[in-house]
Amino acid sequence: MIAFAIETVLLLVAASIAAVTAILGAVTLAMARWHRRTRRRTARIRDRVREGVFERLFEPDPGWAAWIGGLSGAEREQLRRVVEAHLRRLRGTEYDRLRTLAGELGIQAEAKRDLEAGRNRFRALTWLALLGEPVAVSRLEECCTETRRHRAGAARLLFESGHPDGAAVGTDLLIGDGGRPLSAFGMDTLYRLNDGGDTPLLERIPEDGGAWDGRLLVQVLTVLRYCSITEPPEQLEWVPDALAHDSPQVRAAAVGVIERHGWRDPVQRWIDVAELLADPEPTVRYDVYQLLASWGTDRSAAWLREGLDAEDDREVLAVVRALSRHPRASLPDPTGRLEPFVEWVQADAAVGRRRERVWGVTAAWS
Amino acid sequence: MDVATLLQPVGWFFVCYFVLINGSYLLVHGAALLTVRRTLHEGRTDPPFDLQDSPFVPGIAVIVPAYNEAPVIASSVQSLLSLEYPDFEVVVVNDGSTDGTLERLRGAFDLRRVEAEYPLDAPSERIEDVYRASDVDLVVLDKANGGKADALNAGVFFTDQPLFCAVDADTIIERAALIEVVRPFLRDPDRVIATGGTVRVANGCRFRDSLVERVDLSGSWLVNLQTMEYLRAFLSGRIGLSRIRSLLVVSGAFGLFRTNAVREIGGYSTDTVTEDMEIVVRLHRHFLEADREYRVEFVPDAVVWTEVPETWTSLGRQRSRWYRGLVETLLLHRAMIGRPKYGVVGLVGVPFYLFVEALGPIVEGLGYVIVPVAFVLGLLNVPFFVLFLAVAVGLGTLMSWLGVFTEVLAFRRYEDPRDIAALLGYGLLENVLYRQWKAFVAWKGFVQLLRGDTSWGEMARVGVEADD
Repeated sequence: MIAFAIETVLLLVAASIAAVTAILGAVTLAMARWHRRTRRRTARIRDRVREGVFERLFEPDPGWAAWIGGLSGAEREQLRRVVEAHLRRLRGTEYDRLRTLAGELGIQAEAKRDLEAGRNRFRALTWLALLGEPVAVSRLEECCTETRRHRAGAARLLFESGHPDGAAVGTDLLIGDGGRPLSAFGMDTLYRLNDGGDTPLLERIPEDGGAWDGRLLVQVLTVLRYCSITEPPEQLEWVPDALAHDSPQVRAAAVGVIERHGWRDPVQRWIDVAELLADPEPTVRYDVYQLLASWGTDRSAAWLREGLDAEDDREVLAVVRALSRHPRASLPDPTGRLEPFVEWVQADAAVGRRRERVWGVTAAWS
Repeated sequence: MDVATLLQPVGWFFVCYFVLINGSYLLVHGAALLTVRRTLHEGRTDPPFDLQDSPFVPGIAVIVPAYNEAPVIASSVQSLLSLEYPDFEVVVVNDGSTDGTLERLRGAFDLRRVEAEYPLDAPSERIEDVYRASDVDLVVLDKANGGKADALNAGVFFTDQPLFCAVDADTIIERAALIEVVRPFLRDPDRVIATGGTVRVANGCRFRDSLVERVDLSGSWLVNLQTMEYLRAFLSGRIGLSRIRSLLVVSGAFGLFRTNAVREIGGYSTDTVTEDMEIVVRLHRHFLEADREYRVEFVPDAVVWTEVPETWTSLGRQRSRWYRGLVETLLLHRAMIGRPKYGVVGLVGVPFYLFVEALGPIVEGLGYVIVPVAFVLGLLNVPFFVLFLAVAVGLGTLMSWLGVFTEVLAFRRYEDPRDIAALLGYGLLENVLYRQWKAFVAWKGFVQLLRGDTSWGEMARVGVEADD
């Protein structure tokens, strides 16, 4: 009786699996056929539409409205893809014309409607940023602060649309909560917002940096390393505190900030180089060696030479490399323990191309 | 106790094991489908910034261990140099080749020898010579033979780049694959420590200058069975395992790692024949023991193409090596099994590989012996067995077809519906003899492991590049 019941169950299971498998196979085949047909058709339409865009893009009057009026729904769909791809690549007059074309397609209006309705928000922010289409700050703060990705999208939109308060508001959107670290897109946006003109980061770091997640602080310092800043050197008075931070990554990133912005005399006076050279973390010391090489003074050369006594071979190599880049230092005599390092650095420099370690980015990715 | 009484619990053991294995596979493929569905639903929106113009894109060292790769090395490096990524260098590690690999490289690129001994030691055979190209970002390290893991270690400890990508010299990497595989690092720079891409079968496809011109099935049914398997295990399976945070293998043919993380654990192990799995398991273990947040992710859109074995002999050697490596790694990290301290990896990931991937074929192989014996002794419940077999074949086919379905739903490299129909056919066909042969190979690998065999199992390559 039990055996019969088990066999019945097995039979039902086998039949069910066979049915599900057969349906899956049929659906798979049908999808494959459908995709093949649509892919070919789509590719043809996209090629045609792309050709149409480029025929008109360089005309004095592209006549977008009339052209779009004659396109089918499928052609318009492909046109949107072509526009998006080329908005990311083109600049100048061609970009402006594509922007007009996007307007004729109703992309700006649709993206704003999506933002308003909370639909596909990152997609909408991306379109608006690509088009440099302004949106009220209050609207962005209302609808785009839910996730880190949305905040980065909103900040990018502020930058791309040239909002007058973009730097301050965008920076707050990105790092206001001091929480989780940024994506590479977030870092890039923070950099664009703070590069050149206003640098709100210089106010935010001393005010809030102490409360931030250490990993975020590393990213922010790395961003600052790349920004051109015009503020007076007093704005960097917080740097010695960052150099004493518990996290070696933060200390390394702070060294990067000094390397870029610390050429001004007062900044150099705030720093205790001996203490930096005694940092317990080798990666921080490697960055300090690069920093000293960039200063190019007799004093910095003397400090570098002190590093030649390091126990670790990798560190000795870092010091010798830094000395080779120092404009006022010569390489030590290739004798004793230093011989292989000096010979290697000289020979390596002689063959030319060597990919240098990029400042700060290593700290941010470590 | 008579044989019949003994066979009854044995039978139930097999049934329970069968349910465990197939339930696990269904869970993994279900997770894969959910992931794919979510990705399709959300659509992919690339953030509005230019990677080529951003100072915050991490540099990558593409490390190519090369042992006797003379026929392919120059074209392979040339194609690697044309990958789409703003900041990378190619580091070829010539692992004591005896076929003129280094000479081919010197002939193809303007390499200049650094006329001094490299002063640092790495956990590898000593680097004897370093060559740099004058016009492209290419470094060649020449060292004594120490095996693939040893060659990778030489590159990992040589480079200054924050990320490194381990690739096989004979693998064809799609131009956009590096950008794709780095995306999880860009999204989550703080946590991601390793990502892996999809390995697809190159046999039968047409390539020119390392670009895929046409994707086709091969003329060999043995190759096509492997294509089917790759879709099921290396595409759908890995999407699912990644989704449930249990991805323990990043293919040695193409994986991206955080350099510091790998250095922290001492680099690749030279004591295992599947260094690609061992290093990922060790990374999991290291980060979990240190209670550090991390992620290992699979990126299905990052695609590389590899030539698979075309003969039973070379396939058998490859598979028995994979099996030995799997068991070695699990033995090495047995402390993780079932331990809550290791989170989902200890509770789901490692047990999945142990019970499903490692013990599964062994139990299956035992079944292939016990069933005929029971039949001969008149102890086999034939109706039950036939129904059980039907369920097994049905589930095996379903799992394979789920792999094909995932391919058609989201990736569609095989455009021709006839290829898809053929793949579905191979999904059914693999239940006959191929599956049984794989269980036999697993047993063979198990025996080799017990004997301490550490052979690699070379494969004769026929080449996939189109002639001009």
